Amino acid sequence: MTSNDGGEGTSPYMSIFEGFRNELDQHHDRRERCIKASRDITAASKKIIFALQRVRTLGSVIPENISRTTQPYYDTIYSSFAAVAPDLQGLNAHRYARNITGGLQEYMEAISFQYYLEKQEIITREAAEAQLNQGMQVEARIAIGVEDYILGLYDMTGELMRFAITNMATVGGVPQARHDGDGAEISNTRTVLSDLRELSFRLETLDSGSDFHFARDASKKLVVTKQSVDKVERAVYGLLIRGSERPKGWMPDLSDAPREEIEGF
Amino acid sequence: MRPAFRNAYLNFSRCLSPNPKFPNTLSFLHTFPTISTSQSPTLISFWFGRETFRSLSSTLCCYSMAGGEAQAPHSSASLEKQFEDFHVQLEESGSLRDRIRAVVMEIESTTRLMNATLLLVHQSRPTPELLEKPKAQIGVLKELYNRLAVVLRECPGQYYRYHGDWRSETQTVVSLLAFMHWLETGILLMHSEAEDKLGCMFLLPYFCLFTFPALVS
Repeated sequence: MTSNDGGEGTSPYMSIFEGFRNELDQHHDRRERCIKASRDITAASKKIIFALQRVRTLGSVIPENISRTTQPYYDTIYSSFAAVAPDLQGLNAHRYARNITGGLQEYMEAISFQYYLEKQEIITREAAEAQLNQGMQVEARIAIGVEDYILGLYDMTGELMRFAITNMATVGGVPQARHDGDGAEISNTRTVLSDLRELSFRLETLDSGSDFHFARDASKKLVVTKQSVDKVERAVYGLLIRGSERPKGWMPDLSDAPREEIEGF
Repeated sequence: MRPAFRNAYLNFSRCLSPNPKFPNTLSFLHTFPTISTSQSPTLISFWFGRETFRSLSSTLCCYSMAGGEAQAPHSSASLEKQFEDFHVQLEESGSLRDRIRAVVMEIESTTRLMNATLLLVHQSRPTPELLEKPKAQIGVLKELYNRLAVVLRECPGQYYRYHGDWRSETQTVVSLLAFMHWLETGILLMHSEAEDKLGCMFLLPYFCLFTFPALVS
């Protein structure tokens, strides 16, 4: 759609389009920074989660050797967030939300997993946001939206499943917190399984509204979450029901192969 | 899940559970038959025949939390409250989106009317007469965008959150306006002139980034 009145008309358009070019360049630079930060944050969060899977107790502070491994990854995450925080201010928070959402979700997964290991509770959205902004230590604040929080919790259920099953295979018994924050013994009837079930219930009853991307991601993740809960339930049933007729230290076959017939009893 | 079904499901699970805070007993109850039927039937008789049944069932009851006062109830209550807040927020956001879409659909039908008339330009009809009808529609568009602005004022600072719902229709509008302007004057429509025609004060500079590329098509 070019103007056709000779050469005089082109110069006002040139400056306008140069202005457009500058705005677009800035926009794309910001987007690229958010995407790169999101990738770095995702990688570091995954490493934190791998390290946290080595924890064998619930309800106590993470052991020294593991927290020494995770600390540098946390530093990477916070510095990546701090670098893109200026790009996510005001209106741009939603503009680049889809670019940073991967990193935010993985970060949510990591800190909610650690919070659960330490306290056997689900971290609230406000607390997660506060932890992020505290870690960044910059003026600009990053918000954790409801969608990112929820999607991060979905991923965390998968990690809880892995944690429960590895603990049952190594330590034996379904993980539950036996001491409160001060180290005193508590009588606790909540276990990883019961918490998983409750969380899965809450997530399932959430109506994702008409936000297309969130609804699609949430429904996919819900399927995985329900499978995770199912896996832990089967493992616990196997441990309790079939473990009582086997010698001590026996572990049920936790693979998905068809089960053998039970012999006489 | 459809809202009506979900509410019914929620109420159903709440009534069946002995303790409303822990509705997962229901899921415990209905997953158990699935497991037993996939195993051999001997498992059921084993489970009911053993003396260890009592101790097993007490452990299992503990896991199903049929009588849970001993655990920390505050975490479950705060979780419930948090999710109720989320539910409210997501519903508000959903209803806002529906209202935006309603206005946007009217914008789209108006642009279709304008486009239908303007297409005749390619059949070498005299231009000035053709432009009269679409020009009248601009007034309608102005009023529709006003309504859109009113709806969007409910979520200040979230321009880009719902941007996707009205972005492509607005691109079409601007491209039509620019085409009409060019038919009349042979000059490119300026960003500010487009804003004036639509009476939009809420449009931002970034608006132009997405609309002018549409002109080339």
